[in-house]
Amino acid sequence: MSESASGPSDKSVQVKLVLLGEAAVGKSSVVLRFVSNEFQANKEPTIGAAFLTQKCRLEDRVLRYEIWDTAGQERFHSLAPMYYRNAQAAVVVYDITKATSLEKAKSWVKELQRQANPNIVIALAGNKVDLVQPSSPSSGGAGSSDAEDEADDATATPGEAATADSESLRQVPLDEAQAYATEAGLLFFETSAKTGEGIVELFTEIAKKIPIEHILASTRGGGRNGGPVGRAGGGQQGVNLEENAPKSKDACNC
Amino acid sequence: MDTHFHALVLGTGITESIAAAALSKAGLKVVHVDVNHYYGANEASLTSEELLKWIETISTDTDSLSEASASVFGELSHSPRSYSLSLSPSVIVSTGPLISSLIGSGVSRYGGFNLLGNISVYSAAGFKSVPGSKEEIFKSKELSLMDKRRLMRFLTFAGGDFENSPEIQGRENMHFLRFLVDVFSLERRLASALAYALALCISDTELVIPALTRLKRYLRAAGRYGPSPFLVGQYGGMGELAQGFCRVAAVSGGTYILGHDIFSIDMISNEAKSAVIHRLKLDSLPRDLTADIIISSPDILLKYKKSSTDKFDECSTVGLQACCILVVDGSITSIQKFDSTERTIDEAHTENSLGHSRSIDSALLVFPPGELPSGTAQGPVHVLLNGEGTLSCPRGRSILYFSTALDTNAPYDIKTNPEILIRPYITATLSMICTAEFVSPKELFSGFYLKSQHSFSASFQESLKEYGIVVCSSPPAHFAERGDAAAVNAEGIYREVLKRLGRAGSGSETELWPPLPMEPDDADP
Ligand SMILES: Cc1cc2nc3c(=O)[nH]c(=O)nc-3n(C[C@H](O)[C@H](O)[C@H](O)COP(=O)(O)OP(=O)(O)OC[C@H]3O[C@@H](n4cnc5c(N)ncnc54)[C@H](O)[C@@H]3O)c2cc1C
Ligand SMILES: Nc1nc2c(ncn2[C@@H]2O[C@H](COP(=O)(O)OP(=O)(O)OP(=O)(O)O)[C@@H](O)[C@H]2O)c(=O)[nH]1
Ligand SMILES: [Mg+2]
Repeated sequence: MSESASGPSDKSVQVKLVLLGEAAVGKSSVVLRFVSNEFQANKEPTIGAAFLTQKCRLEDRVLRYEIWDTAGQERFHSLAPMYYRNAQAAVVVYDITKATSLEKAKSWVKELQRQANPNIVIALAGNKVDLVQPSSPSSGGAGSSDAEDEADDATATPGEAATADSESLRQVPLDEAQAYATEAGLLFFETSAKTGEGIVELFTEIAKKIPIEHILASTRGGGRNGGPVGRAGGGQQGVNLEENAPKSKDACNC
Repeated sequence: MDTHFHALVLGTGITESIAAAALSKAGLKVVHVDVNHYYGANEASLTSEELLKWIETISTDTDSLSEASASVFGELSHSPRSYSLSLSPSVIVSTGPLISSLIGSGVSRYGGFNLLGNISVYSAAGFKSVPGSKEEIFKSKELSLMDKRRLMRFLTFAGGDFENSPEIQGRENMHFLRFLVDVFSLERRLASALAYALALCISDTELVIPALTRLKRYLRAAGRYGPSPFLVGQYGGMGELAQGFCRVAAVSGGTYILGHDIFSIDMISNEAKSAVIHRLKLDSLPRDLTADIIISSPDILLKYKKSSTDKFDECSTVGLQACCILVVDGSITSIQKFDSTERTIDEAHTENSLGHSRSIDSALLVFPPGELPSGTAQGPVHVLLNGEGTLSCPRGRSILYFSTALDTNAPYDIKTNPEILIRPYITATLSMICTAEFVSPKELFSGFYLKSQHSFSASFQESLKEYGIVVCSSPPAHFAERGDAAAVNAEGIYREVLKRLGRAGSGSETELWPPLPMEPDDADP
């Protein structure tokens, strides 16, 4: 569940999450929906930043997502290794109204298995589910407060209430994607960035699956290679460049 | 996709990448192309697999301009992706233009950095840590009181405004080493350590002013992030930073195309603009790309635009270096010779509270010229150690980068086999340093190659500008200078391109990294 208040941030674990998927499937929209839920309450947009952050509360723990969007570098298969580096989670998005986008998603999953951290948690998101649902009061601008309730509704919805008309837009059947996800060991959700359906659930389920204990242990115990995000602070001797105060003696930053 | 761009940047080296990021951030349409599948061009950080391929490619390259040779022994058994092996091993000066660009662009938040741990000089007795600050000089047990006083006097001189001092007058063309001995009465060994390990001279014939200018910068950079003036970038340094700048460019709308061969680059007239524009044809891209301006390095321009301009022979080869990338088994915990009979813990041998030896993240080892009896290098040999703490190799491994400057008319056998030159220094280094298991590290992999840069004359660069071709200088051979030189060069390119496109603000300076619009009153006076 999203977290807006100033929680016990010192206990929060930083998790790098990367987005992948064909152009225009809604990657950026999914993130925006997830992140602005918090920022509506907290108003803290990171303008000009190349990644967005969002806290996610999980029982007793706060997890801080550092969300990287592809910035278009995937269009010509030109994603830098830096993009995958230290990513603990990935959301691979496809558009349920476009069959080829699932094929593309599958090739991204393969790419992740080749390039990324072997323990990465991968979630498959079939986006734009609103397009195959009959227009209902819930569609169009869901408030952040009831996003979770809607998500709960939605998991029960598909196939049950959809009219023939709207369902005909669907090119990727739910069970086909679900079967693929199960076989490949991925989390799976159908989502709508437009209505907010499934979005919070998606990020919460990822959070549950992240081996937080392992991450905490490896950062505390000085295990740098296993550490979460490899920027300043990832290493014991890491230097934070934005820290201008001259230091006389000690190289250690912690 | 719209296929016309303001700027076509060819090559993803560090200079090109900084320029691409700045131009994209300024709102220009930028397309950035590299024929390689990896970012960083000549400054890339490669996986061990990619490095093997790279070595194979350069050793079979018949292009007479890229003098290169390589040999590889052994294999890396670990997963190749856990290595980031740098083609341009570097340290970054803590207060230089590159650091400013990293912070100004936000790239600093992508990559991690380590403070350079230690600088040591070789002598027959082993590597000796070089005191880098006045405090350390005071504490040193190696130096006599007289030496300490002379050294202090010199460092005060070098850190101050020496340019118009009487010590310099009439000695501008003196070799730096001789200057230290003659003018500051420093003992030869001490002068040599100063020249090669503090001023980081990479040649034995360097003159007073450039060496002093560098040393002053280094002395002033010390203390910003810790005692050392230098930082080491994680994940292979320069190549990772190039990726960071490219991501910043992409986030601002830059288009990235890697791994496609270039068919041709030519100039065509554009009726709509009544101007000449550049056209790029890439392999397996259905549409041509066009751009008002091309930004690229001499190497790439020579390769792809040879036919269209005949003046390309106004090119010289500079900064010839013999290099070796050595991967060893074990994490280095001491760069002092380990003697099991008297287990003393010296300054460089770090131990944590549990008494376990901690591996050294990074260090610089220096062989002054003539110091190693079996060595034949004309100038000094510098060795940059990157341990597991730099995240550029797996745990229990270390990378040693060797480099030494070569004369352009060095003997043929050295040019075709740089290993001959470097091998004695490897043997000496490995016998001196020691791993967590208190043994000498074992060699797992070694790659040798020659490196050089191409450079266009200033007048030729000017004439190319008239065709809308803006030349990136290849970063200099000096391992502590190339990052800053790249940042300065990129800033010049940025201003030149804005000027050519009529975007430069009237008279007022256009900042390379304008502050975010949120804080308009943040600008410098
Ligand atoms: C992660 C990922 C991996 C892919 N792997 C392959 C693949 O192995 N083979 C394939 O035919 N299509 C692959 N594709 C799909 C394919 O690259 C493009 O969708 C399709 O070829 C469109 O080509 P294009 O004209 O846009 O040229 P581009 O996409 O620019 O590609 C040019 C050439 O390079 C090949 N290529 C591009 N990326 C890869 C890659 N990562 N690995 C190997 N070859 C590549 C293409 O097949 C094509 O021949 C991959 C896509 C993704 C997202
Ligand atoms: N109906 C509907 N439209 C959506 C949804 N998500 C995204 N869109 C629309 O799809 C288009 C593409 O969305 P983006 O978020 O830009 O997609 P992207 O994957 O980030 O695209 P690229 O950055 O170009 O790769 C936009 O017009 C969005 O408004 C959704 O859940 N439902
Ligand atoms: Mg997007």
